[in-house]
Amino acid sequence: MWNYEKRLEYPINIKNPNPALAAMIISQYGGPDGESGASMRYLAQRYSMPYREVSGLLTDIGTEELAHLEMVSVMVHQLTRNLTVDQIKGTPFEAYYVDHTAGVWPQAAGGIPFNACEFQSKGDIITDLVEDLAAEQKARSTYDNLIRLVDDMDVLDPLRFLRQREIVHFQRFGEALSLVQDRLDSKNFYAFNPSFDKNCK
Amino acid sequence: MNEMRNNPYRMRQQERPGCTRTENFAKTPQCMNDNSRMQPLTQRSLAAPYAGKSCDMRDGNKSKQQRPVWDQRKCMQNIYELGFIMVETALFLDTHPEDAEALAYYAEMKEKYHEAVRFYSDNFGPLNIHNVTNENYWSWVATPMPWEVEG
Repeated sequence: MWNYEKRLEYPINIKNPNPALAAMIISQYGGPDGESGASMRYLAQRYSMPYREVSGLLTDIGTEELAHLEMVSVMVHQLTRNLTVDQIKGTPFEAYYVDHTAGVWPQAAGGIPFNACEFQSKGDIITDLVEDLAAEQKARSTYDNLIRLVDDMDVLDPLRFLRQREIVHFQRFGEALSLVQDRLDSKNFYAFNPSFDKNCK
Repeated sequence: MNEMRNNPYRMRQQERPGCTRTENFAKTPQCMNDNSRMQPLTQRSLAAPYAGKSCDMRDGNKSKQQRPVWDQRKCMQNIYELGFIMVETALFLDTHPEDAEALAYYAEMKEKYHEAVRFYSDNFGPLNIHNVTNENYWSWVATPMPWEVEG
């Protein structure tokens, strides 16, 4: 169950439209390391986590990722607000405009639509947590790449916030993994899958 | 009809930390008048005064008309900060559930956060659908969505 709070996690007020930049930032909405995949990944993986600290963490980070999904959408929306056709012509946003006008739709910067294969839910606590650690770093790299392209402070500020959150999530997932390993056989973490092999201890 | 009783944005009597009250807040929002229900609250109180204004709170020369806007910003800023503390501390507690210092900090900040949200909702409109308190208009749809206004 979720409740909506009518505010963003971090304020965004982009004054100058920039369709070319919107066509890049859309990748963190629906691209391979975007916030759609992040929220779906954690919220899907929760069910096979045998320890409450970890299922709780996945719930809370998954929830925060939904707030990040909203922030990225708002950036795309504000960057494409009140555009004229002349402002769109010849920019990388042109092809997107043909299919979606200025609506927000999940795709990668390269135009590839969002696909569930961009994340995994393996039903194995170590596999899933290692994927989560990698996912946070991949998202951090993507934010780094975007930050290099941006010189508008209104866009840079929320991007920096989002980048920083990837680092904090990475830290928390690292703690979750070590908490899991503490409860498994230190001589062989892979002796059994605590999410599936219920008779093993 | 008691206008004040039906006005969800009526002022509470007490001051809250981080927010300064002005009497302009107590006015009935335009959206609450039967003649202008279709006029969103944003048109009157948010969008217009924001245009071209800096957000520097230290400037003491603001006109009276502008003051409510700055105060609303200040209240929202307070919620951004407290809300962030709540998110960040909760994630820490997920992997450190016995950390006494973090638990005490969370409890303290939770109080301040709920108080700030309640104050904001009473004066500027609901942030959460559970904060809708009015009787004659569904104020949830009277205030702007988060992407419409300066955050």
